[in-house]
Amino acid sequence: MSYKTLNIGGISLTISSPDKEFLDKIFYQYSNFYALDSRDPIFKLNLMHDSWPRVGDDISIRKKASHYLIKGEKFKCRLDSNNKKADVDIINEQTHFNTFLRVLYTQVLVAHKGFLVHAAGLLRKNSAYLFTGPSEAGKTTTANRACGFEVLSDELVIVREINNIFFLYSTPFSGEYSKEVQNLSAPLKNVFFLNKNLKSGFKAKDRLKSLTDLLSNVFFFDQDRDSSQTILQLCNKLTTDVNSHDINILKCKDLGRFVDEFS
Amino acid sequence: MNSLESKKIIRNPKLAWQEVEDNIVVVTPWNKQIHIIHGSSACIWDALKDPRSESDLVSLVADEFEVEEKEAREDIKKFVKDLLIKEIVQLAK
Repeated sequence: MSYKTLNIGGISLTISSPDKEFLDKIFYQYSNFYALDSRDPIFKLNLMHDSWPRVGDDISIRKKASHYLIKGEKFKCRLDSNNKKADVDIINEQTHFNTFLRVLYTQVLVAHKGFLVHAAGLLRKNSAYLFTGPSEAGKTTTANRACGFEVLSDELVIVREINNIFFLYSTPFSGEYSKEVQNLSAPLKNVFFLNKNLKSGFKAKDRLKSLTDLLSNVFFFDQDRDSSQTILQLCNKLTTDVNSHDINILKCKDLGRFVDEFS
Repeated sequence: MNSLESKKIIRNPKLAWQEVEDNIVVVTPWNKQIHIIHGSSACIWDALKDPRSESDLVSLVADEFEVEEKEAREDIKKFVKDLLIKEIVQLAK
């Protein structure tokens, strides 16, 4: 059995698999999120690779007592949230592991006051900025135009509340952004909602609309009421504590200067 | 008599909700829909933590907004029907 540890969003995960070659491939892809210190993982994943030929299953998460059953097209996971471990039966192909890991994190993050959101994340002068929007909103464009920033992701970033402060974390879950992403985080300074139809460069956004638009972009599958309530409360607190604006990224010629002046 | 008038309704316990500036934001986790109950209807939301009939709600709204009950009745009917369709409320047992 081979073991490796990842750290994403400040949550470390030790992964074991009987297929060393598969594990090495995964860790090559996630190399910037590889944790050398595997002494105290928050979670342990045990991968099994029995054949799982089912196709066409939507992703689903079902709760049974303190266990969750997470299913996807080519994976099935039994997650024991009390003992912080999960047994995963998964086809040993990288794309399916990538999908599984994103879905797993949607569940693990809730217990750590966090969530994944469809967004580009940028970091500059120890502050983080969230640019959120659905598909084709301009997240990758934002990442590609971000001179003078570290890009946290152009597709999915992690938001976590730690000691009453919201932090934005990079993830290895990228879209079309071609450059490497480092494992970084910073306090969240502003939330921007990407809007290509905005005639002015940016516009202040009221709290209610910020909350509902943010919720629309949260990446989440669990149908459990308590988990949904946690996400709703976190998003509500975030839109209370952090300023929100609509932004037309194509009208921001110098994003760094815009953010500096804006902040 | 409309069959619903004789029954009581209550909030669906499986949804998540949050008060935001006099509005109620509701999330129905089974279909990930987000709904807003605007300020003027928030008193109805508050009342629906307990089983209520349409008549109860009509009386509540008539008192709250100082209108005639017959004025409020049609609006309440439509509002309740909408909440039921969206599964935000359910028939009380």
